[in-house]
Amino acid sequence: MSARAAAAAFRPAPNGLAGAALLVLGWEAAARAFAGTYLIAGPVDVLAYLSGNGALMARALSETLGNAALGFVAGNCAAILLAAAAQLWPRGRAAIAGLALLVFCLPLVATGPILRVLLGPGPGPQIVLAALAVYYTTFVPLLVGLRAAPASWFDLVRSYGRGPVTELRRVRARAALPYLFAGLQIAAPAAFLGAMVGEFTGAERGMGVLTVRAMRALDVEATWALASVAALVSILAYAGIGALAEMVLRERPPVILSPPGAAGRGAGPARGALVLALAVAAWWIVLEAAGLPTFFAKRPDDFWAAFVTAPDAAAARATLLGALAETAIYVLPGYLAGLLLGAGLAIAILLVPAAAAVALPLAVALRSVPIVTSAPLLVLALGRGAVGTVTLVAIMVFFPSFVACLHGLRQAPGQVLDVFDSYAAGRVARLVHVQVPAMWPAFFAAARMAVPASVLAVTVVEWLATGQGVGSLMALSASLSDYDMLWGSVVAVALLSGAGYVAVGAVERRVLAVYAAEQVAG
Amino acid sequence: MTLGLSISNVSKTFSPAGREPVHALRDVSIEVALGEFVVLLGPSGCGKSTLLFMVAGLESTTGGAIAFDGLEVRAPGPERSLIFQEASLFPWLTVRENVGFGLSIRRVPPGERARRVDELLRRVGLAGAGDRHPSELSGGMRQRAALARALAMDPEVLLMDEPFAALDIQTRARMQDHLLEMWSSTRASVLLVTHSVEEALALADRIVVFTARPGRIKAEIPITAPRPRDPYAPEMVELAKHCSMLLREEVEKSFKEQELL
Repeated sequence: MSARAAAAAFRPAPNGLAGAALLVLGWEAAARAFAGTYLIAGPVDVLAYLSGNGALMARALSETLGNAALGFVAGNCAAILLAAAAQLWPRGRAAIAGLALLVFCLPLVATGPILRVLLGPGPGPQIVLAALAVYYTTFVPLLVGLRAAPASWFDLVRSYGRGPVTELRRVRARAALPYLFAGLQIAAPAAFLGAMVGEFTGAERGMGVLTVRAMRALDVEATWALASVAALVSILAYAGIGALAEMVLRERPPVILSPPGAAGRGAGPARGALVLALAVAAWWIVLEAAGLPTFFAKRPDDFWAAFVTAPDAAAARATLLGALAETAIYVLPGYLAGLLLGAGLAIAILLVPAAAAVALPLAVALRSVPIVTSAPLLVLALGRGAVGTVTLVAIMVFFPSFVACLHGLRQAPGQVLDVFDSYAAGRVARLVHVQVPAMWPAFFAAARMAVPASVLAVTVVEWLATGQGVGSLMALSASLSDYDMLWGSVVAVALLSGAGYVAVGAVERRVLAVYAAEQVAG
Repeated sequence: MTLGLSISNVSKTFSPAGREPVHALRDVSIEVALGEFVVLLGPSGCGKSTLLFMVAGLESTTGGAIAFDGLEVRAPGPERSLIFQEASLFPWLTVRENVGFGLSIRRVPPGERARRVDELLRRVGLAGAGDRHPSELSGGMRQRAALARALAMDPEVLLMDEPFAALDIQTRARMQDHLLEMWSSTRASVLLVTHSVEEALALADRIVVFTARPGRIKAEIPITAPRPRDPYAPEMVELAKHCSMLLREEVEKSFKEQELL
């Protein structure tokens, strides 16, 4: 395969344009069909709105883009430093990866208001949230990429009498570049999303502020226009980084960005306890070192007091657990539906190759759309009940699952497929015996990374719209200055989504031990 | 003091945590004189590659000593250059940059580096391919580039770990001729690992035959016939029969051991 063809895999094929055109036409058709219901503003309405409010939109966009860009740089630099540290210090690898996961599981919507009090008005919280939204999806592929090289490359460097630092600088760093670019490609839309969530929680300017305003005013045109601009910007960022990768790289982008062994071996109870202890220590040390007052910067012991020893601890616990349970009821069905739909559609489309040629580039582009920005649209369309929330979670999970599964299905070993062809086996037999097993590693990698994403989606929609679950509890606590409850919900949600991630990882190891032993051995 | 490479009573035992220790090599002694071409021949898993890595200084011994020109080998050194089974070129570097990689790590100035790299490329017959990337080369060309990269360090011993195993038979024969040409023009010593009797006979001044694990020296066979050698000459056929018989005994032994496990 030529280098050009390899690099081209970073960008959506021209077929994607046909898909996009279809999508826009369908959108306009739907808008006409539902005209008068105040649900859908079609592309024509959106353009009309944009031409009327161009200056406002441009100001908001430049504010949000600036914050997203700063967060993008900060988060990715942090990811690179963390990955380099984990590489140079193998014993610390498990602890670094565990902490990184826990921080990634912090619910952005609740971290936002806390950062708001800590950092004051201005762009601080938006930038931090953007950084938090991107660093993990760069860190994990980098951990893999830094080790994705044959042993002889390192033997060669050692044979010149050089050690791990030269090895990292001259070989690992370069070998990891395709992984870095793949991570950055996902990070660009995520940074935009992080900045917008930061603006939801009390900024003065930006796309997020306009979104909240438009939604409260039930301004359908504005809501659709904002979501369209956010989507377009994200797709452009995604494509731009893809183009850059194409210029720089000669290699094919990696398919599986987070194999199960990536963060270190297994998640034993001892390692989990160590990570938790480190997290508590870091929590306490950072707040103490910054000298923040305990009124709003709650320490671990405040948390313990509020939820275990205080007289009203039982009531606080009941409130928090009740809200968590409400949230879980929405997350689980949405998560499972999204995963299965993604895998199912990928499989179905493989049976009709012409459809795959159109759908894959489109799905790759849509994956880059910050789904959360479409939350207000779904609430408009489906109402504030369970259907809207579950649908949002499902959509959030669907795209990464679909894209990963399609890539995975195409990884099926050609020689095994040839054997099936030589027996004149049908498409279904090939699918069941060869392609679906080849899909599992990518499917599970997507399933694991989708856990925090679905928790983010559900808390955002609860925060913005539905008035239920832990997202709404966090919004309420923030507005009542009930910082005990706010910190408590952050801790609870982070633990819950961390636990979900680990649980999916455990299932994954069991399945892959049968279907893809090489993935687990890492 | 002996000049050249001296391997005396070297043993290697791997002791993986929580498992039975594995004796890879036991009591191996080999002297390689300056400019001598020695081939290590043995069944897979007999520890011959491990020995090569110990000579390179990338693996420690658990017994005995390895010395070069009388100095004990404890770490890698520029006088010993390693060539791997796969060419192991960096795909993102051009052939020229790959060949100069070691020089650049050793901070040889760019001008000097370019001069030496061009000279090496010419010698291995890749003068026109300097600006290409490894993916644009054939397997044989890649292995030539790897040879040039190893020669760039001006080694006194070339350590080659089954360098031609991944090549097809025709390319392999050409690369063997090419290696002999290079070797005769540098007069570096060569220590080459293979499990191919034909390769050993075509190349070696002396063949060292290893036993199955734990690897010990089963026989040393000097070959005095001048190169290029005719593999069908009666004395070469005799040698080939002899080597094949020695090797077959060991291969059968290691098969039996595997089936017992």
